[in-house]
Amino acid sequence: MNITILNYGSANYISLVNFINNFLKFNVKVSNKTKDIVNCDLLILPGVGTFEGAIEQLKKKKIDKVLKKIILEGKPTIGICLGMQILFEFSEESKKNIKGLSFIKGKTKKLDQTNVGWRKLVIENKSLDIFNNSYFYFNHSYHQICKKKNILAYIKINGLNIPAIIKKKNIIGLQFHPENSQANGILLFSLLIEQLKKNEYN
Amino acid sequence: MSIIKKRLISVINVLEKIAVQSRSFNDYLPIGSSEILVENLSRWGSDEILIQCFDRSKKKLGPNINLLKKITNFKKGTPLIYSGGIRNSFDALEIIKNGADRIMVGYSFFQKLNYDNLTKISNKIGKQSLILSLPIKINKNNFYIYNYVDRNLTDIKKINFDNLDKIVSEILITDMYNEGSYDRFDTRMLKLANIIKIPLIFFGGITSQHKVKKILSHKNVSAVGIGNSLNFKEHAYQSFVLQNRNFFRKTSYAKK
Repeated sequence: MNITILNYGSANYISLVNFINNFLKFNVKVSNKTKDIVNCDLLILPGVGTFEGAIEQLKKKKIDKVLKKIILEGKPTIGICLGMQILFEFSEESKKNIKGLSFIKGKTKKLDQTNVGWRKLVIENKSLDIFNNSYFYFNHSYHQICKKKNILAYIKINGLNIPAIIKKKNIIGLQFHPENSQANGILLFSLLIEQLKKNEYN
Repeated sequence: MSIIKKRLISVINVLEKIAVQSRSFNDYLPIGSSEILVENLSRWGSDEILIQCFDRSKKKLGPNINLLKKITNFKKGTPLIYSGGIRNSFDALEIIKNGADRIMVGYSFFQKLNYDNLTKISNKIGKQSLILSLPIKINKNNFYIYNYVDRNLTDIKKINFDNLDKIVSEILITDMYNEGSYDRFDTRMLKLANIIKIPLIFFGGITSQHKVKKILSHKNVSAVGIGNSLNFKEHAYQSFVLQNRNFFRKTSYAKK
C-alpha cells in the first residue's frame, strides 16, 4: 500500500512517517505534489496548528482543488486531529470565517477547556467493539458537531459526547492521535485501513 | 463516562547531548543516552515524555533539532514534549515538524514577560501544543519565578494569568529548590493551583506515593513530572503507575 501524508506546512510529519514505517510497514511519503496525491492508495491529512493556517496553506499551495476532486471521486482519506477538522464546513477557530474543505456537513466548535491526555473511547460501531473503553491520546482545543450517523466513536467530556472517530464513505476522521496512542493506536489504525480498503460501511 | 486520568510525564533532563541527573539544575551527574531513555520510557508505556534541554537558553543556542531528530526515532508511538532554547514561532514550528508533538517555552517568556512572542507561537502551532514552564522559588511564603539564565527573581503576582489562559494549554511548575531531591517537593507550591486557573503540571522532587496523591488530588492539576526516579530501575514507570493506580491509566506493561 502506498500512503501519502499531505504536506501543507504545519504538522508533525516525522511522527506519522515513523509510525507507519515502524509499525504498519507500508510505503509512505510526505508530499504536496498532485501526482503523489492522485496516485496514492491512502491519503492522510495530518495536523498540528490552527484551522485557518491549514486552509490558507492548502489554498496557497493550490492543493485544495486537487483534494476536492480526488476525495469526492473516492480516494480513501484519513484526517487526524486538525486534519479531521478541516474536512468539515466551518470552524469557530477561524476569525476570518474561512470555509473548510466541506466534505462532511458540520462544524468545529471550541471546547471549554483544552482536552489533553488519554481518554477512553465509547464505540458506536460494532466492527470497532474491541476498542470500547480503550485509551487513546487526545490533544485538541476544538471539537466536531456533526450528524450522529457519521460518528463511529466518541468520548465524554463534561456531559458532552465529543466525536472521536467519524466516517463518511471513503473519509475517516480521527480526533485523537493514533501515532501517539501506543499499541491501541497501531491496532485501530491498521483496522481502519483494512476497512477502507474493503470499502466497508458503504 | 470517559474519565480523564491524570498523566505521569517522564522528564529527561539533557545537558549538551547527554541525559543527566540534575539537582536544582546546578549539579549534574551523567546518566547516558537520551535516545535509550526515550526508548525505555516509551516501551514502558509513558503517558508523555518531556525532553528538557535546559542549557540551550543559557548558551544562547536555539532548539536542539539534531537531538530531537534522533530521539524521534525512539519514541515508538508515545507523545513527546520538547523544551529548551525556543525563541520564537519559527523555532516552535521547526520543533513540531521534526518530531515533537508539543513544546514547552520558558526563558523566552519569563525573561521579559513577553506575551506577544508567546501569542505568536500559540497562533502558529495551536494552544493545545504549547506549555509554559515556570521555575518557582518560594521566599517567605511568596512565589517567585526564578530566571536561571540571568539569575533573578520575578514576583509571580506580576503575571497576567487571564491573558495566558488564551495562549497556553498548561503550565509546568518546577520546584527549583527541590528539583533532583528525593521526595522533597514543597507542597506549598499547591497553593498555586488555587490561584491559577490554567491546568498545572508539577515537577521537582516528587517521588513518594503520598506526595503524588497530595498533588494529583487537586482538581486543577492535570499531571506530574517525574525525572530521576524513573531512570534507575527496570520498569520503574509501571511500578509508579501501579502504586498510584487511582490516578493514572494502566500501561500496557503494568501487571494486574
